[in-house]
Amino acid sequence: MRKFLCILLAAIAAMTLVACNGNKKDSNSSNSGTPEPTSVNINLDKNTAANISILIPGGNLNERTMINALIEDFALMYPNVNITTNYLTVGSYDSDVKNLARTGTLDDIVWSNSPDFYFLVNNNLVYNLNPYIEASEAANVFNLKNDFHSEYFDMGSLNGNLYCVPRSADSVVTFINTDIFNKAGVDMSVVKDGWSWDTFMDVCATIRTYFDNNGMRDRYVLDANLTSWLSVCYPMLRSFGADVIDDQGNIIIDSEGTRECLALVKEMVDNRYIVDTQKASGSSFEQGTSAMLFQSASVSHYADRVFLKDKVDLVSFPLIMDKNTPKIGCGIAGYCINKNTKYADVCWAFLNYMISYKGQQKMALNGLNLASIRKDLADTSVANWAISYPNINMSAYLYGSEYKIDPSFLAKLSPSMKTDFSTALTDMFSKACNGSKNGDLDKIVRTCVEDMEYALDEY
Amino acid sequence: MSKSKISVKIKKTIKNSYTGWLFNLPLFIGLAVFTLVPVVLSLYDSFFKYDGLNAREWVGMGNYSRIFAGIFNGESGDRDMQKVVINTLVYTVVSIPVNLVASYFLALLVNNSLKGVTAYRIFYYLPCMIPAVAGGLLWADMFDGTYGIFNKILGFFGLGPYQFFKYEDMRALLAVFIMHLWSVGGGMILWLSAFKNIGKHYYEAAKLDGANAWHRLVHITIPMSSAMIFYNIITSTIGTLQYNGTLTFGIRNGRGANNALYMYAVKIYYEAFEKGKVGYASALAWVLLAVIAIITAIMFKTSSWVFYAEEN
Repeated sequence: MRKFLCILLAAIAAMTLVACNGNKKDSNSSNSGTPEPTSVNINLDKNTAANISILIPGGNLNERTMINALIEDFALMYPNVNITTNYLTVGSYDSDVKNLARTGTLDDIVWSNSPDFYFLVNNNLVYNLNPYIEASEAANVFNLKNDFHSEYFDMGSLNGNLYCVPRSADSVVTFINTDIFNKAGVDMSVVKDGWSWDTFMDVCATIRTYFDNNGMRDRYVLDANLTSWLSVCYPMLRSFGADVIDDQGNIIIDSEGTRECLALVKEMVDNRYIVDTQKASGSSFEQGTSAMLFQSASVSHYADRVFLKDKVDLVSFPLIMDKNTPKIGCGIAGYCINKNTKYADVCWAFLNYMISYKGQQKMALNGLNLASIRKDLADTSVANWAISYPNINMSAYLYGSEYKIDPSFLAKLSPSMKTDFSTALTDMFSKACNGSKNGDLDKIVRTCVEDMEYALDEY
Repeated sequence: MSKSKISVKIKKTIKNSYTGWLFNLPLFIGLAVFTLVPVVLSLYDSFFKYDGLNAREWVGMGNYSRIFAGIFNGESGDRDMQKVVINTLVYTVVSIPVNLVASYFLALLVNNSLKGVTAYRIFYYLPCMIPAVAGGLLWADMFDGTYGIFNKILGFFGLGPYQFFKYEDMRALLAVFIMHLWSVGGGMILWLSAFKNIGKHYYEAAKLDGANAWHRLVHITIPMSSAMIFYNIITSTIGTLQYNGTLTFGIRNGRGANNALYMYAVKIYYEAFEKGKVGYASALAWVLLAVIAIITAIMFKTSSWVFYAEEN
């Protein structure tokens, strides 16, 4: 019996190893060049028959609802196309997609966002969609520059190739609690799109004084989302002319601009506009006890909360004009086409519908309250994405397209370095927000450089 | 023995036991596919640089040497390893005794026949029935620096607010220890079962000899439940060394501020699923297995203090 079990275990081990070698071969073959669809047909026959699936974030009810609404419409246009949905978890995006790709079960259309699509591209999992864009422009279906906020398509592109078609324009804006603003006596005429950082700091000072004079010393003026979110901290850094790495891959974060940016953060901590990371805060925007919030989420996420009912308004992210290079953080969520799909043209037809006027309006009626990527839906009085909130300045999402950037430095890094670089950067801001550590900004920058060098050299 | 005799013997064995084998087959297939194969595969992967998707690159003992270089000489290897090992050791060394003692005394408290004692037992055990992930999220909420109920309560006494899990130093681990006291009811049940197996006649005899409650505890209850103490120490050690609960409530993907909560099992998860270093994570897992095996072996070798009633 013992012999039998030993032989059996050895057989399992041998089979496992053989299986590993097989995988190795497959993987090699999948890693050659940027895949493009071999032939492009943008005039899909109405009777085309196909079964395709879409991978979407399961935890996002709005995403599920809006995609299902599109699927319903698409079924009317192409009755023989059957579309199903599968779900992934955004928190474990890379590993979810990796497992599906390994087993050959990755969906035909894959949800992604501006940093995560680099993973798909680095692993050659998705099509370069330029041929479809070119064919659509040639056939006058649309003109990318004229019809869309094309900067969002740039965020779904790498080296000039479009991989991720944006479904909405996500931009960081300043949510404000109008109730606190009014009670603090803030001059609302200065709180408008395009306001400068200096004006913003003056408003912070006014609100700080109001809190202190009214027994609310434990409250903070702003939920800055600085210490965990690249969409706020990276644009701030760039506003001071600093950056993380250059085109040659050299770490360039140790600069005067970085120090100026961190000094600004320190000033906000010292003045108690934002909370010291090692102190607990007695306030939050969501609870109606903090006056401002930097966020790109849909306005419905906050405006319908009990503590914030009829108290929310929006204004653009304040422009840091010190170097005349202000930046506003933004990003996209969108969809890519799996390079192994049998129905690339059908997938494109679906994505083309998604970015069409009708498709964007349909999604907005089914949960998408973020700005549309279409220029003809920029009018907030008629566009469905904004029409439900007539008293809120929804155009803040669209303000300043020339200032908008995403954390594009991640594209210059391999997937395994991406996490460590992001962490190094957010840790640097976290330390600048730590009252017991931010006295020595040089040390904070040096540590960040060391963390990044370690990530680059990492085994 | 001739070939025909062996063949006959095999046939006879199969004939006599095939029903048993058939009953075992589903379990065996499940174990083979979902446990044995992944285990062998992870050992294989541990000698490669492998991201789980693309081709493996042979690195020999490179993954292992990086781990040990990191532990013994932080700068030349994985520089997170020292912090990870220290956190895991501190957590293990403090958490196990604290939880064992707390659950032991809780069991002593409810090991009586007072009216309603069963309700207390159920009440203390209830937290163990909450799934670990739900429990983690619940505690993250209760310990939240802004909305947390603990800070609200402490606020009534003019204390706090505190950051709990978000501290950059050992205070973050302290919050985890406090959180774990929540689940001492699980250990309590095991202790209770051990206490029930101690014959009443020992206590009666001791009382007749004039032993007070303390003497009865030290000279009867503890020695007679030493087998359960040993079992609890072994299982707690294994479980604690593999602790990855911070993934549900710790910031920075469970690592905590300044890696204050960075434990060994979290490191395995982080390397495999956040950074895509499946080969390196496999090596980490095998090192952990080796450490657990060694510690368990040492415990068994030094277990002469354990009293097994059946032996006598």
